[in-house]
Amino acid sequence: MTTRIVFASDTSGHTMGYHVVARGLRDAGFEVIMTGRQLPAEAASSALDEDAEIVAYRVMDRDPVEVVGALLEALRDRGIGDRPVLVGGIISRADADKLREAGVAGVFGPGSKLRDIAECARTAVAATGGAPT
Amino acid sequence: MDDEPNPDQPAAPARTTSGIELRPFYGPEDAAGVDYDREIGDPGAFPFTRGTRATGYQARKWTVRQVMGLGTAEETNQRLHHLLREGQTGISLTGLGYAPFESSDPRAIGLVGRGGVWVDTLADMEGVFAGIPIDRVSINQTGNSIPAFVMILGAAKKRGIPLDSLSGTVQNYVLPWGEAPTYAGNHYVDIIEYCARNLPRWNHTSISVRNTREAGISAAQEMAFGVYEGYYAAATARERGADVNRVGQRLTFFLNAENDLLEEVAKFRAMRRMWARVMRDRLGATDDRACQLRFHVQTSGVSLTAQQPLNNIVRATIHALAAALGGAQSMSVNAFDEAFTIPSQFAQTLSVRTQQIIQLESGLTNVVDPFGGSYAMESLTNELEDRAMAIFATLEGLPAQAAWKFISEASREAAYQRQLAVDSGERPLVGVNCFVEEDEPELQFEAAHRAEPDYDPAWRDKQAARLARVKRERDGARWAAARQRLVDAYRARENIVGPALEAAEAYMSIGEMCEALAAVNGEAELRKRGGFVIRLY
Repeated sequence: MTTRIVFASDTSGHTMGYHVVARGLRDAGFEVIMTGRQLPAEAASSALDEDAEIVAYRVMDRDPVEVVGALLEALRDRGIGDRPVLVGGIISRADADKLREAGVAGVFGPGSKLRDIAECARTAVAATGGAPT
Repeated sequence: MDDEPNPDQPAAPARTTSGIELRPFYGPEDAAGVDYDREIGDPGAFPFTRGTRATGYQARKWTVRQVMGLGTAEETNQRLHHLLREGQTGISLTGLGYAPFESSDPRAIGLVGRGGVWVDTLADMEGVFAGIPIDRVSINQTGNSIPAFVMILGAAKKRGIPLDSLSGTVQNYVLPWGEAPTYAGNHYVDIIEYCARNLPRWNHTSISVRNTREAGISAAQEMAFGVYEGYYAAATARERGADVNRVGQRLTFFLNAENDLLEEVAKFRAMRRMWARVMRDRLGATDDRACQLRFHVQTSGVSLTAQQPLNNIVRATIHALAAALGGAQSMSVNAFDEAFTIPSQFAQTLSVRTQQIIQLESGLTNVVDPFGGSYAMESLTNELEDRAMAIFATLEGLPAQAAWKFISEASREAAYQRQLAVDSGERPLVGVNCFVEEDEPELQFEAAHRAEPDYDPAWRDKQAARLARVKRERDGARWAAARQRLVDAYRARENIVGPALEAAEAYMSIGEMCEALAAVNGEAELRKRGGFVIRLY
């Protein structure tokens, strides 16, 4: 069983990092469902529809604290608040701290290694009792 | 001492990003057979390898033009005043009109004022430029938004500044989504036409290959993709009846400056020569100015690191040196905090200072193309042009949409390979995959940054309130008439720029313009024609 990850993006611009990380996760053995640009509620609905074990959100243009907060709430509203969430983008240390405090399993900015992102995703899914990849 | 490297035998030859093998030194035989007048030429003479003007930076320095856009009109206006006070000589604005909806739309969550200034109506643009001498300072508009473009014009008109005295650049570039052979309805070509008729000092096109380079493509690919896209724009405008000499004079490029200093300098030289030849030989340009590659450089962002961020000041200085040695007309030095935040005022000011130190203290601006005639530099320039021309020939042989797909796939592949090379350490990145510092202390400026937010949720409320006020106060009949005129022009595939300007002057919002046009025959068609929907949200 491969781990299913829904991978959304906050907008359609400057998506090179989004594609690089998606391919890295795929090469690490994940089933990556690229849902493209989605508002937080749309990403949460995709996570539910796709029965994702983990959700990744690339945040580039929007305020990470505001949209990730909305995503976590939307996941809870759909009864899947237990699914771990990863966030990637240009995110200040202060904002990254806030995201972790809000329950985000991993925050990845420039300089992150693909294998570290994959490892974080695996660990987070295993902690929820999901299938290890 | 057995494992000490033999200084006479390098382990593996060094290579540039374009895969050119470098020897430890170059000599006269590397430049043998080069006809100086034909291949190189003095600065200001075809094929402009050494530069577009004989007087170089002695007569005129490059424009110091930091890209910025923050919050709403007030925040951006304040930052602009600050940068101009500190010696910036041009303006570059980002964020204008990227979203096809209003600030009060639910889709605007977390978006208003982050990563660019938010503009709904002409009233905002008037605020952006309040007290800014836009009759004397040139304006670069990042992005292809026609509503934002006409609002810049509308703000100038409101102040009584004649359009034909304005100077600036719109980052327009023709994409192959028009309908051959006339391309009626292709809004990118509309901009070219409109500028030719009304804005003689406005660069109607800025080929934005800089952002493609950020994926990790090579210098030769940056050259080839850029020259191809410029060629395509000029050829398309010519098909619709424009004079290629006139189009060429106001077609500019937006290029990167990366780490590999020697290759980057060679890139600018080789690309000038390549563009001159493509314009003359393939498009039939006869006017020298139409054959000159003029460019703005925004230094590399992808090579900056969130780790040990002060190192980025050193990196950006190397990038700026490459641009200066390469003869850039205009420059934006990426801020050192860019890998983890929207640039702070402190970091942006330092970017201005970086340019000022090179211009005023280094002596580098005294002599044009000081690398000209260097055995290594001329050899690299030749090699790069050959490689880029080979890629250009491939693109030229493809249908236009396939050429764009080729560029997009090459970029995506390069981005992944770059990431793997950084992850494995094969491509050194100081502070990231070598010389890593555990437990980096928070620097003083990071703490200061917390007090100066790069996003404030209150911006959106302020912006929505202003939009509501503008709507209450505008002339409803004028607005309705302008809206109808805009929709009619779109339906009839007339040039859209004039009617959009009228709509802007009637205080129609960007969201309203996009909505009115999308209602004609769908958002997909509007996207295809270009200029109104830049990003999807």
